[in-house]
Amino acid sequence: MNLETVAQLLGNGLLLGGVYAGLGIGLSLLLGVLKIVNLSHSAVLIFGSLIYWELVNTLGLDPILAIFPVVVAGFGIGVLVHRTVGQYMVREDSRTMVLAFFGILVLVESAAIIIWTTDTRTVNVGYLSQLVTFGSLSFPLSKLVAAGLTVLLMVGLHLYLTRTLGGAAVRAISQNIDVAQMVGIDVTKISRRVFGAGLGLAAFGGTVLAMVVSFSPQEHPRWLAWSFLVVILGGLGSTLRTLSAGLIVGVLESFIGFLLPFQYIYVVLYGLLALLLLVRPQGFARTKQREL
Amino acid sequence: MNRLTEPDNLGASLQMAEVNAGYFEKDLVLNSVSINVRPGAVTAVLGPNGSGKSTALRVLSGFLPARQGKIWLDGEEISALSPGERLSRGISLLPQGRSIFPELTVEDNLVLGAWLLRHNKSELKSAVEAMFDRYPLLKGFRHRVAGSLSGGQARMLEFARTLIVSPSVLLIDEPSVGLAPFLVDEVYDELERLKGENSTILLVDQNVSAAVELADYVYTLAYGENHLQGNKDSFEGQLDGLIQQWLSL
Amino acid sequence: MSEPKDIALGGARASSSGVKKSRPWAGALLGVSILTLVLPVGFGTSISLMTMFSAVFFYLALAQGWNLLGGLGGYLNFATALFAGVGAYTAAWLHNQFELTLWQTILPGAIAAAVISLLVGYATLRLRSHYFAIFTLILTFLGAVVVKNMPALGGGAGIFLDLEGEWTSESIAQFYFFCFLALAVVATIIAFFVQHSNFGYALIAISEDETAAQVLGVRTMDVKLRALFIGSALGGAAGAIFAFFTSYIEPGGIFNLDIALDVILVCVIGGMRSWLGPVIGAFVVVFLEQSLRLLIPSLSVFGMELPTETGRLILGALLVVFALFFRRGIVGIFQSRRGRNLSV
Repeated sequence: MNLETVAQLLGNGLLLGGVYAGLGIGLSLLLGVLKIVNLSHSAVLIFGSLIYWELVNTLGLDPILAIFPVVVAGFGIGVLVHRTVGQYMVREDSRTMVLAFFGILVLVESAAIIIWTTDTRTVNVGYLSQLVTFGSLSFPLSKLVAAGLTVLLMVGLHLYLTRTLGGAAVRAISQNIDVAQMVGIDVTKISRRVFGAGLGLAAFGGTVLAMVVSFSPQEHPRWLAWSFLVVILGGLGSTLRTLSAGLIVGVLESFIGFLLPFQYIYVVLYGLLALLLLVRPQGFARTKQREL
Repeated sequence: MNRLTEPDNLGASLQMAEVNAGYFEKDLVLNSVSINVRPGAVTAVLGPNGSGKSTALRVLSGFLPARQGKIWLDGEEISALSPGERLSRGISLLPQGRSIFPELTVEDNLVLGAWLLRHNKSELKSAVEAMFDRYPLLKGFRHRVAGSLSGGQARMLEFARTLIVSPSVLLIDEPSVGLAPFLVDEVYDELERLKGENSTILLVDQNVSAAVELADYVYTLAYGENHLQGNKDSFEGQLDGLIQQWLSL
Repeated sequence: MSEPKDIALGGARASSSGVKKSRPWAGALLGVSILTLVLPVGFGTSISLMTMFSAVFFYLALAQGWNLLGGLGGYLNFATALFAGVGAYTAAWLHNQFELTLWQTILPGAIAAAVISLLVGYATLRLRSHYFAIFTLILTFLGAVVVKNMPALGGGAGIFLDLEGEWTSESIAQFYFFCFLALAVVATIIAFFVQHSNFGYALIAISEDETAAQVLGVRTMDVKLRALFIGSALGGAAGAIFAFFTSYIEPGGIFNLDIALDVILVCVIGGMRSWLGPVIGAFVVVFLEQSLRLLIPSLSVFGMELPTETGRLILGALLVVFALFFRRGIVGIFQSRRGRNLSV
């Protein structure tokens, strides 16, 4: 294994990791701010991938532009769901919420299978499939775009949360919801938007995932596992740490996939997840502030 | 000790009239409780553990709905208003225990405290600076993460946040709980300062002697009901007897 | 069951709500009467009826095990399929390698599942229930992937159990009717005794307020692990019997979230706080699924035939509705109407 191979693997891993960060951010946001365990995260994600597939393959939309309607739709549906069912998602009764979201997982997955069957699909990214070369390394343009968009999104989210008043209000809600209410923040309205963002980001994850891999509806739990790993590794409460966690997972997968038969990736990454949960469940976060 | 009764309207600014309230369906923590908060004065609400003092504050601040009875502010009924809406009418609560945003800076904590002023950036800024002027110690910490403050510093921040929107009524819930004695003195010094500025204060505290000394008027609750009420003078000599009574309840 | 003295039962008892009047004899009587009603089905009725009841008992056994940690303890375990699958594969492999009979493989199947559950539990039960829920959800998928890539266990093609002996379809159906019934009875008896024991109170205390339970001296980790152990052992045993019953298992079928969905539905619809809940729920869910299976092919929406997935979609929606609006299940509705909190 020479330097060139290492560099190529590293590059692949970083690009893949960028996408993985995109997978995890929706789950992380809902868990961190609203204390909601969205078990249906990967089902929504895959539904987003399928809609994206329809837009690009069937309707022939541009693969980059087609992302936006999917994300907006995800946000809209999230706001709608929160508006109708939100009051029942009381954070006190967490078991009810977990069961309800599992039901939603089944619902969304079944709907996806009914509409699109269990076939594996690949998005025809057209002009994005050309290779871009940097010296002796080469990467498909689609992977560069997918990772690039994700990084842009996450940096934007980070800036919003840390530099704006609206973002401060969101963080306030995640740290002390009663005091947030007390100072006059409209907690319901903001929670609604965060929930919408959570689903919208899940849908976004689905689109960038669909750009780079083939997928099928009933295999979505795999992406829930990856998302969860990214969330635990990165710790709740920091967009940038979630991004780093995603990159690490991507690089790990890239190298392990090269050294061992592919199925070992699952064992290694699941094992890493179990180890993290055992030893350091807050991941990169500084202290153990967030114990759910 | 006689039960003194007061006529209903003594120019009270904040009023709780015959309120029933509780946390779970069948349970009644407050039973027909009435409290008048006199403007420009300190009203103390005392009582043994479980008498409903903190619950009364929760009802007044809007965190717990009243099942029966009404809440009035300057003659206007506010029973249905949320905590945020009550803040915009001038009622500010300093809750029990820690109430800061631990991962935000001191400055961000104050900025959020002035959330109601967010549409006027200059007004918000001057409100924040005014609080730093009032509490110069906080100024030095303005970029520090609030979770790293000591107990006394955090309390100061909480006071600043409570005052930043220039409220007309202050609800103070057990300010001395969990603080070392010298910090309790500091807290009461601040309350004296506020009293000197003619603030309207409703104070709930376990520290009976300090509370009575600060207060102008005192209510006591027992088992979720009004028990005694009267001017500070009528209570001052009877403190030991009162405490004896409560310990035996 | 003898309880270790260090589970602080006084506090646990006090903090477990909803257990005001305990009348275990009424419950025992109820259980026996249900059993006597159900037994005759195993004698000379149709194969399909016996098979359907076998399914009821299969899910009942799994559900009673699940309910200990899930319903009483409040920790939702989505890896039911994993444990059943481990039991099934253990039984199948032992049978094919060493020619062990059903009776000889039930215990190893249960033990194998229980051991895996301890590994999982130790890693995740120290944290609160949210992480446990997600982690168990993704575990089933891992099980499928691992087995698919192990040729020793048949890989993606699965394992056939070569069973000898003279069996008619009828005698098979009857034999397994009683096998599953026996397991379901064992599971229900275990659930019944747990519910009325200090162990059960400790579990309820954990689900009500885990921090308070810890403060009161309940060894929460031990209690949770024990509940998981029992539940997964029952699941492994059920899986072992299942392997012999169908005589063919493959990863996609057994490491399938649908099993978790069915078990959870059984407990949610029936009622999670009582041994009676899964009993009622198992009958309701199996009969419901059977009806859906028969009904759906004959319906059409907008002139299109409905695919079988529609049944699953309905079940998902049903779970959402019950979780949000009928949290206490059928047993809960019955209890609240009577106005008292009766524990049978």
